Amino acid sequence: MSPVFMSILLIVGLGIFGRTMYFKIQLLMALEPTSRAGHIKERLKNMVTIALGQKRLVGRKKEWAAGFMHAMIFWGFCILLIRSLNLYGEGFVKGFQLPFFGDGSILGYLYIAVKDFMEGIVLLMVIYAFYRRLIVKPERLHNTWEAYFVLGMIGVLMISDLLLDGARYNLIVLHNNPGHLHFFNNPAYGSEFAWTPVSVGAASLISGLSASVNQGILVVMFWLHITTQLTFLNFLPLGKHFHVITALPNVFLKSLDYPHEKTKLLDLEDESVWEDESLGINHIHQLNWKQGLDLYTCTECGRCREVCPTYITDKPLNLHDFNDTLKAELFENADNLIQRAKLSATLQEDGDAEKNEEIKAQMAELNSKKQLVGDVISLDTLWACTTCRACEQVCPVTIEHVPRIMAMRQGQALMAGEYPQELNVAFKGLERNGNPWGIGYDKRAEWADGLDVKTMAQDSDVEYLLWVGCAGSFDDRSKKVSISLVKILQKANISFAILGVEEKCTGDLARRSGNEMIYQMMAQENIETLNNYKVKKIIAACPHCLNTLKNEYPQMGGNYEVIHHTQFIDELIKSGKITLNKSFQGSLTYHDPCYLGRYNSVYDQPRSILKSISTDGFKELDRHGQESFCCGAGGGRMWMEETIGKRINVERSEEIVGRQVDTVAVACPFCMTMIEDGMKELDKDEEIKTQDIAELVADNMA
Amino acid sequence: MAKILVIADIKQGVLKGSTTELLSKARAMGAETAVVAIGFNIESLTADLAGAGSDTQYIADDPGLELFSAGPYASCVVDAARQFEADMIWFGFSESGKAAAPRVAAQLEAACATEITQVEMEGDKIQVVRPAIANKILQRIQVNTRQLVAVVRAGAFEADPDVTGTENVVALAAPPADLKAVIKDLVLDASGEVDLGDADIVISVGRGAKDQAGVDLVKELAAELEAGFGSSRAMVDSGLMAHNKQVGQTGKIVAPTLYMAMGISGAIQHLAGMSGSKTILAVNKDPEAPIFNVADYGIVGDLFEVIPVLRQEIKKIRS
Repeated sequence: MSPVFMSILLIVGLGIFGRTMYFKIQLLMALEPTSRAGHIKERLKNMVTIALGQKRLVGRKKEWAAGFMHAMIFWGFCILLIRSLNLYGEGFVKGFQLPFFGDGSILGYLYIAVKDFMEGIVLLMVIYAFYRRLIVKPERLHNTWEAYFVLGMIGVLMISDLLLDGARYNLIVLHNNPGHLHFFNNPAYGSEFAWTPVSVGAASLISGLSASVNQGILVVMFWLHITTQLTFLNFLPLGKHFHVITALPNVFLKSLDYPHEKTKLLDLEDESVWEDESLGINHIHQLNWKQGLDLYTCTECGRCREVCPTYITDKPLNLHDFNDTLKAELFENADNLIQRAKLSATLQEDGDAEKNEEIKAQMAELNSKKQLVGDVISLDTLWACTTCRACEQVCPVTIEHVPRIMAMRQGQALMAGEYPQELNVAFKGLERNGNPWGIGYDKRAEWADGLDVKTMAQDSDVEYLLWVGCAGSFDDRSKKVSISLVKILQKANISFAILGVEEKCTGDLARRSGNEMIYQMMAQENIETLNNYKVKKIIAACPHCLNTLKNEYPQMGGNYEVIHHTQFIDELIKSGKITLNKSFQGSLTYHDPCYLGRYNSVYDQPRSILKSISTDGFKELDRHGQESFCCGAGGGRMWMEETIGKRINVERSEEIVGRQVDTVAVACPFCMTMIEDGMKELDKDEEIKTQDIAELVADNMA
Repeated sequence: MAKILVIADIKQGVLKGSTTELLSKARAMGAETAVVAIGFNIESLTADLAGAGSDTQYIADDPGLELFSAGPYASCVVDAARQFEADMIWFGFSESGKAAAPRVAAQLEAACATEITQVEMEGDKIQVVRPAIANKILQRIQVNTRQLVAVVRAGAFEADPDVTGTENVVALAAPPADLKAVIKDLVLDASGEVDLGDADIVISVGRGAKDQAGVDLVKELAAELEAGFGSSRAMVDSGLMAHNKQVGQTGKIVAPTLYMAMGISGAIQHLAGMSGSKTILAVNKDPEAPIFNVADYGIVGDLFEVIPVLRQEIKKIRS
């Protein structure tokens, strides 16, 4: 077309884009380090399934239409990338064809056919997207001008390319190819259009126009397409559509820790961390680069918000606003952060202490003047989170919200001393008696009196340790679950023991509320006890204990094979060690605990057990499995007051009541308390029983 | 003879009973007693102060002392302690006592012990007993200084109904104002009810009360017994009770002499806030309710039936 014009466009377009990207990457590199090296295979697999495969968009039944729309636009874009390269070539050389994609190979024909089809589909999807935003208006969408602008640009890209080919078709087929246009010319000029019905359709729209007008359209559409594309490319990094570029790397670089980046084991003995106030996250520069990339990638699609138990019940936590606010703070401090990182690089570990102090002082000058919690994010927002991970499970680009919230809580609990004061009672209880209620530790094994349960101190030569947990040991309601569990284990002749008075809270509550000090204290004491008895296999009666024992204790040298009691009971049933009567009357549903499901992927075993005892069938709740709705007690919320908005447990209980069941099965003592309280609140506790799976099994054993 | 100075507990112009308790104990130990009263327009209390069991009354009466402020308050106590040459200075259990005691101790270079439940003197050696680690142990502390400043745990000493004193008023000079903190205003709980933390009897209402009528019924009983009026979380959630009335893990933790749980099932969250009470009486329809596990006295029944009977019986006993 015009090599000069093409060169100018490319140099300017790609030059500005390169400069923007350089700056964005430089900013990420100024943030804290985190390692995402290695495991290339696993990373590629994530990228192929989640990003390229659009797993969480197409795979989400609740919103398959929107997911399908997005996937089609995305896949269309991927396919059109090749076309774009070809067009750049055409800008320089008339009749340019990419190797393998020209008319000499079948691939070329296949490609133009797919491209043509996809352009048509993408155009339809853009129309659907407009319809959705303007007419349907789903609550979760952030309807901004940017969204319409980008959709408009996508539409222009499709239309211009289709009209370009349409004009080319008209000129070749109707006007005897006046400019000796070259498309595919084998076997005869124009026959290739049999592969591109959509372009031919576009051609018919302008077929009544003269040859010269068609020629004009061809030229205008060519340049319109190229300039729109380069504008689009440069527009992306400026807003939420940056995800078009960052989503693939973000998924590729996602943490491979399960279920998300593990909470850092803070070195609390190191005096400098207290002096530098560097524990947790209090300032924007304390985010790590991947957390920065998460912010770049957030598309404000609002799925996180839509599934968030706190947002639904009118708490101030709105995750996409949360991300947006952090991103604004990041960009506001960009120059200082980069400057700060350069200074930090000049710090020498065994260098001149005085000089290091001087550098540190200069670095402190460059810190954001705003405290991340308090000035940027409100305290109520931070403490609302129940760490249920529904947001992470649903995020199409695998943003990890929860580890960031936990680190910010660490900053608040350890450095600022700002946390809900009700927690003090629970913390004190942990310190003194190893349980959050502060009940005398000597009473911990009283629930097992008369049940003939051994303690490890009496006999540690057993196969399993039964980890009872604080609720199972002290809470009257949960004690019944412990007793049922013991009945089951005894019936199956399992060799097990409990720790009794030597067991302490795993520290889950302390860790989720940012009090790393008490968490490490609890963990250390428990690990010492467990290792002393050479414990290898643990059955945990509480999903929170399970998660801490299994996923967090290895950081501190506690390595055990840990399973939840529902998993173990399921094994017992499958191996025939216990048999169940299908004798449970009444309809039954199951409330998935977050720390069992989303944190530890145990979804099937509880269901399989329930199905095998129920005569009247098992019903799923609307929000179940990966999208189960939190009871409201996770993340230390069990020990805090819920004063803002509707109570989460009531919201969930209403859903259960709406399902018209006789019994709701749970598998977590916190869920038990919350759901049972919710039922009482709704005055439904007589009609709908809340029972742990262990109780249901114990009552229906043969 | 040992000399014991007691700080008068004055709330809204009225001398509280704890002052008598402390003075009775001091007299029972055979000590010479004095009381220091701090406030504004409190001359009228002189007779009450003597009657409570003091031989000397140090009065600091000044407009600047109308509202409690730890600095000036402590200065008055120190002034009185020096004039009286006190061996021991006792505060009753209150927020103001806890705030002023360490300041007084620091200025006098005296030992300071909080929440004491027992005190003994042998010659000039003082020993105190205080519970520690959530009441799990009792510490016996030997005081090695000449003087001791102590905050006495609520209800630790008993008032002697026959206690008397002599009127001997010493006026104290007004202390300089505190430059670091000025109390502008005191916001009181508008309900005029007995404070949960201070109350000798606490009566709490739970889900068993069902609605406003039930709440009112329990509230009337609380008013008659001059008891603190508390609540379970459920009643707060349902909006029938204010959050500052909630007794439990995440609300107020109370340990009164008598705790009455009306229609409260006794979830562990609630027990964590009241199981330290000396005597617990529970009324609940459900005989299986966990509250009965911690209760000293339990009545299985509907609170709507039980409370009227209870009120009648109380009336009978009182008359």
